[in-house]
Amino acid sequence: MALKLENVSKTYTRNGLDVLALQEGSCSIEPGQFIAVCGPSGCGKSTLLQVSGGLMRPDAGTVTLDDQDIYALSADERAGFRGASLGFVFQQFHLVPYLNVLENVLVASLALPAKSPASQRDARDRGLALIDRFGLRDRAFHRAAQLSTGERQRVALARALLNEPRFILADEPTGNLDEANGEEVLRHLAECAEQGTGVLLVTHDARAAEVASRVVEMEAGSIRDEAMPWGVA
Amino acid sequence: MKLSHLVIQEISHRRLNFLMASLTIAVAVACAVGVVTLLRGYEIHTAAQVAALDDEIRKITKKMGFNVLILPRELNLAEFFADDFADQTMPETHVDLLAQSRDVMTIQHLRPALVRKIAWPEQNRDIIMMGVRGIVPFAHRKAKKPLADPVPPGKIDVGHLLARELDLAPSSSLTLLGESYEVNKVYPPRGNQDDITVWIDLAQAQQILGLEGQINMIQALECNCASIDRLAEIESEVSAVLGDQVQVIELATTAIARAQARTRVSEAGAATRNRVMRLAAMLIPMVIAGAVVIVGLLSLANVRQRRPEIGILRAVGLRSSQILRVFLAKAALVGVTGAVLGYVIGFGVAVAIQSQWSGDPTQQLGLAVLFIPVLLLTVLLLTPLLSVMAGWLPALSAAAQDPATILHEE
Repeated sequence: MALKLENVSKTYTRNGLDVLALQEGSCSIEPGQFIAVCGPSGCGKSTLLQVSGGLMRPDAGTVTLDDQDIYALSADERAGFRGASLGFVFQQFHLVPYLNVLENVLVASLALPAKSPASQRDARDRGLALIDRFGLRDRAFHRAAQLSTGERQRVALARALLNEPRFILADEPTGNLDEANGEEVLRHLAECAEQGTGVLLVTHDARAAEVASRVVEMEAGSIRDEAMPWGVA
Repeated sequence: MKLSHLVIQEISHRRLNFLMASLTIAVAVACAVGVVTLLRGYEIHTAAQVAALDDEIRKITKKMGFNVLILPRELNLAEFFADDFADQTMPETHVDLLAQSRDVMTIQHLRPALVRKIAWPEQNRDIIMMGVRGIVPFAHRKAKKPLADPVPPGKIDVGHLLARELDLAPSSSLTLLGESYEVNKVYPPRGNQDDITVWIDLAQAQQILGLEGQINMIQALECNCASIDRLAEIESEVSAVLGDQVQVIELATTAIARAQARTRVSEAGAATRNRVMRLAAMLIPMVIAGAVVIVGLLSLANVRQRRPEIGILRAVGLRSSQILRVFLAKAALVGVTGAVLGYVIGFGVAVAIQSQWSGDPTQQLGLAVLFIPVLLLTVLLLTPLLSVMAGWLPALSAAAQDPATILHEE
């Protein structure tokens, strides 16, 4: 049931120069685990997240879910895998500007196969329940531009959870939030982990260590330490 | 939630983009529909005008009739055309047989004549002498006003040139071959042999020439024929009465001129229509091609504008085929909207312009006449298809966007 990265490497070419973003990194996450990946800017955290989520093909190494190499799948199969098994949360929220809160949450249901058990029939009910859970009931029909940053991130979190994914991949979800909203988002992520969803959190936020079950530190594309809780030395 | 909801919401959000694309399509469709509808109106008007003109020409030239000459069979036409009269003669009774026949339907007037070029010793000149009997009435038809009056015995009708040169006027007298005649009529100038012709009573002419009971032509005037091959129709009727003793030729070219005038009118109408059709055939594809390019560019701009959205939709699991459908559905809606809008505008403008063409309200064409169901169907089917084609490459580009790259850029 684990999402595993084994000896994964990724090199970018930026301005004509090769940038090693990920160097033979390995890690795994089980459902119910909350892993915080920490490190300075440009160390390869976001690359690790995108490679883990099937968004960016690594140059070397494998990413498997239930022993299935996700990069052996076609692009559309990988998209299906993301829709069914993963939920993404981004620092910039990435809400669709012309949809309201409920629609932004429900947009994830478009990724589900029509005959999926968690299909369109009850997607709306689940969406409304998530909106309730994140305190957005009275904002259900507001558009993204009418929401505060904290509310937007909670909408993004609700969208990530709509299809009841096994893993949440969160890229700096508290980076644009104030302290209170940041803490609330972290708390919600921790709740997800408690309810059995694996959470892979890429962050600068020192508070993540307080809620994460494991901290992975990255530097210059290398995953240095999987065991030591970050910030506790 | 369905993809269609996403499409509708996006259109509602970016109304200007949708409106611009739809209007571009609408303008192209309006041009095409307008031109085709105007062409239809033009065609109907032209056809009506040609028909009216044709009818006018028919009426105007009707009085000219279709005139033929019935000549002796043995006559050599080459000599006839050289001399303008026949040496050979035929019995005068031919004309009576024709006049009494019930089978002769096409000929309206029969005028027998004996024509010769003779020397006029009293004036020391050559002239054409024509013995005439006037119009021979058909025995079984209601009497008609004769086209030509007979020349009474002892009287003479004189052509313009002779009258002028000999200073002749009605009631004056002249001597021809020793016989005195009183001038009955002086004809106005005709610009042909008639101007040096004298007309006398047929019997007198026969006597002078020693050809009693003989004529050398029958003028069959104002023939009305139903068939296109008029000469053959008349010849058939004449042959039924006189057998193969005569031949029939066309007397004047007025009938041909009449037919040619009508043909020219018809051809001119068709040629004008073809010219306009050719212009439209070039103009319409150019306008449509321009619209396709503009819609394609607008679609491309829309794809670029929606890159963040594409990135997030791909990240949450939408397949490339779903992204493709989102953009193609929008292109199809642009096409449908443009088609409906364009058709209404094009048809409306064409009807308005058409009504200006004919100031007479009774001649204005009704909507039902100008409405072309096939055109509407073509516009409604083809326009969305063209719009989808125009949006195809941008949509493919959208479907091929790499979500990781987009999210990284954002």
